[in-house]
Amino acid sequence: MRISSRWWVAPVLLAVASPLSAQGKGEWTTYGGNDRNQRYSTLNLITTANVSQLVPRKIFQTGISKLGSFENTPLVSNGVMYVTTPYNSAMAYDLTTNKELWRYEHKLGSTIACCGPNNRGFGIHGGAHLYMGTLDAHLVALDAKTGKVLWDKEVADPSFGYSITHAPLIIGDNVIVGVSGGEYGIRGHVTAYNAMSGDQVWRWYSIPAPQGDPTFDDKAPNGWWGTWATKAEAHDLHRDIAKEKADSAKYADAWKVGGGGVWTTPAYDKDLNAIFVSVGNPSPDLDGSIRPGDNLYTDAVVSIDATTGKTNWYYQTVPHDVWDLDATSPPVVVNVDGKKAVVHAGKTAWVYVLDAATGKLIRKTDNFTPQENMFALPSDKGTRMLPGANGGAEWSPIAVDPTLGYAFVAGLHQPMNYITHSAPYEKGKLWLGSAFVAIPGEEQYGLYSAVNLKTGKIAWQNKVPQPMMGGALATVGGLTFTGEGNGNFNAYSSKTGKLLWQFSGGAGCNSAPMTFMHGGEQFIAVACGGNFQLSYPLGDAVLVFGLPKHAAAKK
Amino acid sequence: MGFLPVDALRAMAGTRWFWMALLVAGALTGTAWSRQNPHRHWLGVNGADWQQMKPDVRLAYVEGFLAGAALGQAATGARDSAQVRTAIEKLSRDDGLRFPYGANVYASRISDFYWWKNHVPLPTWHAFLEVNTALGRPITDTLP
Repeated sequence: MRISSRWWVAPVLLAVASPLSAQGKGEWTTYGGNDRNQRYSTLNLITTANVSQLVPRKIFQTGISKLGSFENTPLVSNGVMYVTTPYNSAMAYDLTTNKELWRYEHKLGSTIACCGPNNRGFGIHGGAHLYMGTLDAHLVALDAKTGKVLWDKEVADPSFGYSITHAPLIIGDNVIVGVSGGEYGIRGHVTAYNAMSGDQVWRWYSIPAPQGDPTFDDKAPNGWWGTWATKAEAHDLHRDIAKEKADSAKYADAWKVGGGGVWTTPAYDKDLNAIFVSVGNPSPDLDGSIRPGDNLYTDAVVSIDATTGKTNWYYQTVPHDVWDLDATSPPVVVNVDGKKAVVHAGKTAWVYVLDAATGKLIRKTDNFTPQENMFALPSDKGTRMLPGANGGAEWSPIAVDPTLGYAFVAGLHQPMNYITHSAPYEKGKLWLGSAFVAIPGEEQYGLYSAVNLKTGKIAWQNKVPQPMMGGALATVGGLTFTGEGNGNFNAYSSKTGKLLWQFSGGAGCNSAPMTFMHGGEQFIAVACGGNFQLSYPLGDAVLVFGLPKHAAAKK
Repeated sequence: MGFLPVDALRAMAGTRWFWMALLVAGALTGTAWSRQNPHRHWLGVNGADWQQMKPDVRLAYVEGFLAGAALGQAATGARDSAQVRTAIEKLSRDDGLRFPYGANVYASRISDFYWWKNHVPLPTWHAFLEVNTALGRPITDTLP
């Protein structure tokens, strides 16, 4: 660990601005816009009345040499925009001069990442220090002014399949970071590091250990085996519980490599002093026979005490998942009908509204993308299933308009067959196949939906030509923004869903947008660099939109 | 999704390191496996056997394979054990091992590999090659 003497002094001198006050200044200082991940901005200069006039005002070409899915949400603090790119490069842009201030390129060691060399962004502490998780499972602290490394910690051994793709969350003086790697037999965890020293404060394991283990979690008294749930709410999971129980002794150690990556940014609620995380799939993904039990806390939304790192509660959306319908989209804290709730858009295509204090389900909304044969088991001929392998909503963060009570969800419609035995083996030919196989000739598309969290009904829905991956933004100006794989970047009326403005960004706009104030103007920014997994055109640019200069001057 | 070229497989099969790796891996993994199934020769271990193994046995089996493969790779061109040791340390440090990931990574992916019924008859060494290629680490060596 390298710590300069100046580094120790800096935090003492800093007035650590909270994300809420940062938003008051028109900054965007967390991945989700605020600690609660709402992606809702109170900036009101761009509205339904003038959004049609938006023009590109700046384009930051990152100029990276290797492209990949560009999933970053930039941060803006003190007149500087901070961007991270695939393969863990990062750069800072002066928003007044539009010049690049510095560039950091992480020297990646051994890496293994299931789904591309992605990174979704920085966390920032006190406006002075930046934190990035890396594909080789390091957490790197940078000086926001210079881009110089302040410390660099290995969070987990990357050779064992660990990596980090999400933007860290800053809570007080702690940096909260999870790990990816559910495809590779990791044991997932979330760790708090001291922002100044990089020392570990606590670690919470997403796979609860059995009694007797030092990491035993009393909220899961039966370890990751759970309660042998046969249903996900009212839906039969088609489990053979007797066989699973009979096999439990044989697979007693499966929890040690049980998966459960936490690969999207958690939310935080100050009043409850709780962190809310979405936990990914169990490992191995498809073969449930060798991991008997509910496989807690995979596919769950979990509340963690922010001070101690202990579990408060969990809500498992899919016990014993064999469909890869894990919990990925970042949780959001919002008041629903006067009650503080945690909202999560599932790969299952339902939005779950949970009591933030207890984890009890308040409601499961209507499905926001089509569903067929939910939780059916695979067959030799193939079982037609919806949602497909990428779920109804993937990692894309939702935005919530608390005044309307709407959640805006970027969804995917990908009909697929779930097949156990689909192709003959040919000698010398690689054929790993996939459990889910796209159905030839069937249309795939995206759905951008407003889900009423108070009633559980779909308020409106817009169909777009391609399955959606990226995320949403909502503003007090009555607008919601999202991007498409074909490069379109769209603004809709939050209330009605009417398309009010569109810009073609060239490469796919497959990241979650953000908004900020600079020089008395409001801007909307989005990284348009495509998506590797869905074969959307790649690029390297962050587009920044605002009102035309003359219109802004009149304001 | 890519393909493992037949030529590459043939070339691999012709390399000294490949067979050395299999032999050493077999010796190492055989111990753990033989406790469960004393009658099966290691070269014939396939998906059916894999599915019978307990998780800790699987990990031991994979670790044995990885150790054997690393040793076989490091031993290529080495004249004595000191050179092997130097080579294996350098390969590990420089991310040069042909099977560079942890045992849990391979165990998890091989379990998914054998989830497909048509893969079950294939030997485990083949599963290792397939998984390694899928992880972006195809065997590309030519004859020494």
